[in-house]
Amino acid sequence: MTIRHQIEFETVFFLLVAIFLAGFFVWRSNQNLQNNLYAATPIISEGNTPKIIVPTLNPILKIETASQISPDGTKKLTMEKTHNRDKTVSYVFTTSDGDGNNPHEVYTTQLSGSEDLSLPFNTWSPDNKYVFIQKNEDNALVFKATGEPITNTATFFDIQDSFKEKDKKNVPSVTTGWASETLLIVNTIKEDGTKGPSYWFEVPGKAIMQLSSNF
Amino acid sequence: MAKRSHSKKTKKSLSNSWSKTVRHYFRTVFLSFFVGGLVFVWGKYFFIPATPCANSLSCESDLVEKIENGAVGVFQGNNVKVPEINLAFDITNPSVLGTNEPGGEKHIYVDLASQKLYAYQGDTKILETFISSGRWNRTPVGNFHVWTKLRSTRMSGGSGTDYYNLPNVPYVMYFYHDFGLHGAYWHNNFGHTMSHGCVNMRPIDAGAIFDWVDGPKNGEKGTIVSICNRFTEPNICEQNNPINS
Repeated sequence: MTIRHQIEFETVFFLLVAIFLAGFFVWRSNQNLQNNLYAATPIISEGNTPKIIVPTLNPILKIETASQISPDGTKKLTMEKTHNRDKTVSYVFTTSDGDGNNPHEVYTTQLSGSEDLSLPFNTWSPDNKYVFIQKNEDNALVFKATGEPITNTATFFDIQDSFKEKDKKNVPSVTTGWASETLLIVNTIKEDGTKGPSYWFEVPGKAIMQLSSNF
Repeated sequence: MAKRSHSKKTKKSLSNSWSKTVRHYFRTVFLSFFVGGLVFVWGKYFFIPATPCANSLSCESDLVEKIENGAVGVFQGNNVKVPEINLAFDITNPSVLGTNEPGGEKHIYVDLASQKLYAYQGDTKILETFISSGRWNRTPVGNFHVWTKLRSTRMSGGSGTDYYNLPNVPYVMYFYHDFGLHGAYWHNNFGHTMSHGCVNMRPIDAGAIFDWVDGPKNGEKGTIVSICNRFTEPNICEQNNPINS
């Protein structure tokens, strides 16, 4: 190979390297743009957490009467809570039209002071056929909105009991809301206390389906 | 004498050769940078990444108002009952949100961390509610303006078990391409991510916001929508890698 050939070879090599590098930078640059378009959820280091108040989704209502409107505004679930002299608490849950007409009593019960019922934000199913009520912090009770029994043999479904019946090892920790007209989303904890998978709880079939992603 | 002359010649030859080599490499490196720069500029100009879509099937073709009463929706493999829309009811339900508040710039903040939406008129908060932002695609972070309002439209996208096709999506307020605020009748899991990039709200909340929000008119932009990673109070909206910074 002559010196001239060697010089030409080197020049071509340098040019190819330059073109390759430029292409790489174009690719990287576009990737950065894509990342910006799909902005990532922030990872906040400990000690650097902005102090903000994040409201709870499932407030435990301390007031005597509370209500939750359905997503379309046409229905309303009302809770009346009465503190009795024997330190028990009586609850009456009633569904009605949004303006309060056409009431149906859904559930009446009396609990000890250590137990609690409350109305979650996502209480109504999307088609307004079912409602769920939060019991304590980790359980939920599911009712038909008309006040009729949910099946021929049961007035309502108890999520905790349903998981026990199906012999699930994970225990419900919170019921977040409705994934569809008949599917409730239930988060769980494992036996060792760590976060378990999320499930769909199907109404009225009581089927429990494990989900691939957590809510 | 002859030896000394030969030595001088050799030195001169080596010096010339070295000088030529330096020039050669200088030229080559310069040329490489020049060509590399040209390729980069050309690549950036011609290989622009496609704009993402919240609704992969309908974002290019269906950003128009559509009312399809009687149609059937599909979401996560299940048929969904589609609520009918009767525009006569819209006329009889006057907008009330913010009417008793003093004037001021309207501004919507979406807090992705707490999954909440805040609507402000001036310094007054007129609405606060839970929303569902992107789960299958991320909701774009940044500051935008509502560029169009549609009373109802069809949204579709995804594939396989993720396929969805939803007519009569109510109260749509697009703020960035086909990413928008809108009502969602197919789920009630607000406060948790549930969308393909849009901001889902209860239809009752979406309707109230829809009547209050301004679209673009008379050359002025629509209401500002700020999507924040974290929001604490007006003008304190933490945004990581906003797309329009």
